[in-house]
Amino acid sequence: MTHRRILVAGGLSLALLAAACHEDELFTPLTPSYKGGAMFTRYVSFGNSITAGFQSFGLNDSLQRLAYPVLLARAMGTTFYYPSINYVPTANLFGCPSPITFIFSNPPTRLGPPAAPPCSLRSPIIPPYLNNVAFPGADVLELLNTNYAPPQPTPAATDAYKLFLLGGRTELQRAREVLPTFVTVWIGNNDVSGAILDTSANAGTDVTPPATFTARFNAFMDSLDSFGTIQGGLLIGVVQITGAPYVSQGRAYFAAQAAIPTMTVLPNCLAFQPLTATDTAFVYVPFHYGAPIVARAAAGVADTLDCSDSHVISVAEAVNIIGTVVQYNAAIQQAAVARDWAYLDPNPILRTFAADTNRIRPFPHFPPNPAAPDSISVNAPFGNAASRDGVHPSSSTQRLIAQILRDSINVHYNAAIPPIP
Amino acid sequence: MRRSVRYALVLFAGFPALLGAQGFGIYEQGACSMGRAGTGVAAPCSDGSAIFFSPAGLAGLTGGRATIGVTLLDVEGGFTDDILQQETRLDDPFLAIPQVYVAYGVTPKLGVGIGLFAPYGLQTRWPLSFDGRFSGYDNILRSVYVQPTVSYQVTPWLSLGGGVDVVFGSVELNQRLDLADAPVPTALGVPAGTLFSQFGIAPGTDFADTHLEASKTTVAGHFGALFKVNDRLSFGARFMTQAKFDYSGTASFTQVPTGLVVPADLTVGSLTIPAGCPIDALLTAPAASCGGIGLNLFNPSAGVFRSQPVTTTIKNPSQMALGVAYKVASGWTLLGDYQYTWWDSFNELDIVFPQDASGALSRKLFERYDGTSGFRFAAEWMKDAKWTFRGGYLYHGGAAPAETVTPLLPEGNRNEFTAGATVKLSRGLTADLAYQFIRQNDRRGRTREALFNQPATTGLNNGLYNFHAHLFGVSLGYAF
Repeated sequence: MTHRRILVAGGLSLALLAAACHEDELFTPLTPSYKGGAMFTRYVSFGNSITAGFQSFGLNDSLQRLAYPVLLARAMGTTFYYPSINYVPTANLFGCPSPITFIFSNPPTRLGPPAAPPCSLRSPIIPPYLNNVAFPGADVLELLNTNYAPPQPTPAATDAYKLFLLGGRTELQRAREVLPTFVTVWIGNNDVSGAILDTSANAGTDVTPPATFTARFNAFMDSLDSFGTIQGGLLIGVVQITGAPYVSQGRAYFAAQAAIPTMTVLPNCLAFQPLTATDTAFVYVPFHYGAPIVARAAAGVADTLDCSDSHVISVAEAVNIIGTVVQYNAAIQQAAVARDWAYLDPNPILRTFAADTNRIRPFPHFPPNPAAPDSISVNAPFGNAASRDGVHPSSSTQRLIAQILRDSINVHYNAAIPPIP
Repeated sequence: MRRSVRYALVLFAGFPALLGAQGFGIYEQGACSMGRAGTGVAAPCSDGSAIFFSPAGLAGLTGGRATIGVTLLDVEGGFTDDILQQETRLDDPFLAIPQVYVAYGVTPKLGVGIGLFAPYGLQTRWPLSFDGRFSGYDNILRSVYVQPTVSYQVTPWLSLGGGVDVVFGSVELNQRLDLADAPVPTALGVPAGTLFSQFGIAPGTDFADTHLEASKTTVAGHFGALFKVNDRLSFGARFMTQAKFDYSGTASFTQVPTGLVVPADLTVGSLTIPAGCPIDALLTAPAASCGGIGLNLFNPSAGVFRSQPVTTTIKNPSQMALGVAYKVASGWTLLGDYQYTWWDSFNELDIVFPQDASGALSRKLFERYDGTSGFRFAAEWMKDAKWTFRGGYLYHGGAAPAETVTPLLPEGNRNEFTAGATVKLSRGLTADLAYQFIRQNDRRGRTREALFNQPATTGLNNGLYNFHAHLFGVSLGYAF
């Protein structure tokens, strides 16, 4: 009898011990439950300003939350942290910097009163780590490099984001903290964007040579491989930057002179060179160079656009830019194929946008009366697909990108990520 | 003699561990009692450990007993975070807890003794890669009780006993400071309360190492009663009063390099911090590389992080045990104890830096522990005059509420199993051996404290703590 009691007590004790061992339910559920969801448990997005959610040359939480990786992660049903920039109008905080609301004034008008701080700093609620490690201004070298290790990236105003968004670390360093299971990479746009955005002369040659880009990109991919946790990824090709509405073909300015009698556009702005059945290189006039000429002419001051000026992108420079992007994308696609990852070329989509002038305007919609701007010049001066800076996607385009990525991922990985919410 | 006393204290200085009782309580105060799952308030072991387990139990002692023992601890545990599912293991060393008891029966009714034991204490050591390092990566709480005890048999069925505890307490806290959580001095022209994280500094950016050390001696009391209903059945009770320590000590700070550099000219208020300024330099003296700007945080005479006094108050809670012992037959004895510890006295922990005018250093930790119950059961078989075997089981609840399971003390409900034996080596010499397995239920907890001295919530819990331990006890007793 005594022995039986001891056995009962022993059995009870073992049962208690066994119950104590099954504590898996104490973990927060993490794995998305749809088909293929395990791969998206921890998603990290690499990239630059587009991936960060930059719009209208500004960044704040109201824009960041509309960035394609945030929307995609929401569809994936996975925890996703981004470095939120304060957007609290009641506290006079509008962004870092606050986005442009009207680009045709000088200087452009930004959201909020002029007295608002130029940078509203990060939200005081700091996430434990970052899933969106993209920062505006990032090129392929800056994904690899610590801030001051050689070779040093060219200093830029956007370098401040390395501190504000990434805490002085690189995208790779911040990503490694997350032990990502899935990544998207959209890098390389800034290796060619200087050609259209740099306001200095001869900027059209400001591109990273393809061989250099390829070596750096492959080094970046090797770093990703070293994580040892990534189960899959999607690489996005570089956009043909000459398709951005921030630059207009010279022929668009030539046509516009008919409506602005005091503006003269020289015939050299009509130059072009066919490249393929679908691609042609033109002379391209950056907004920062062409807009002041239009403004002066519209104000009655005669001015002339000469497309031989070194601030204009020549046909030869355009050919180089376009060819360079083609080589970038070949390298990116090859890296994806080597890993059996998905690859997406964004340029066919851009071409469909370009075919719709409401989406991408071939010529900026200058306000007929600068003193009383019309709604188009305020809301969509470069078309609905672009934000008010003519370079970065609008919110609707960010959402479309997310949907396209979701579709591509589902097809490539036979997954069932739900639609973008 | 003075030298040997000092040596004993040094031995005790190495004892702390995260152990087999609620909160930071320790109940393994002798190999014999350890084999009995800590029972014995109604029938204490004869090795003198009655000084702790049943102060009334010294009455009726014949001759003297001197026992020295040690409990060896192999503590295993860790924390698995929710998102990354990565486990960080406790880095606790293999520990040894010594015990010393000397007891003497002055008359058949009067017993006296003195014991050194440590019913409260902890050590939790985590690797510096652990996110919890900002709460504390090497925390030690020591309480060494020296208890002279007198016990008297008032009637043949009732004995009473009691003692005064002189308690030597010390506390040591080592932690890292996270630059992300640090407020930016308003001297930089930012609004009060702006944190470095708002400039993008990532969580987990160590910039200072803090060492807090304090000690205090205080006094408590310990009382017991033993009721012998007959030769087989006895009841016991004991009550140890709270020991309150008003600690006073020193805090010292060491800068930890971040290696970060300001990547672009940074306009803060009316100041511009130039690109290339090392943030480590910015935190110290004004430097040319930072445009002559420096926050002087580590200035040894005026910096916020200079060495300075620190005070805090910690209470070792009162504890009570009620027990029964019944001699079944043929050398078998069954024992059962119930223990209650008033852990609700461990409510808030104020760490105060009286010389810090900025108020940035003082911290209030909301512990909000609950009183806990422990249930102990054991059986003992005296095989013959040479061998005695014993085994037991105990269960107790956790003192820490769900929002206070932290790197400092990630405790919870525990099931524990014990076994032990006594062997008589010679006429006066006895050896005790014991083994104890501690299995703590896995428990959700957090790695960080709430900011701005706010009470924590379970919303901060970010992972799962696990803990188990193997304890080995050995002691040698001498009867004289």
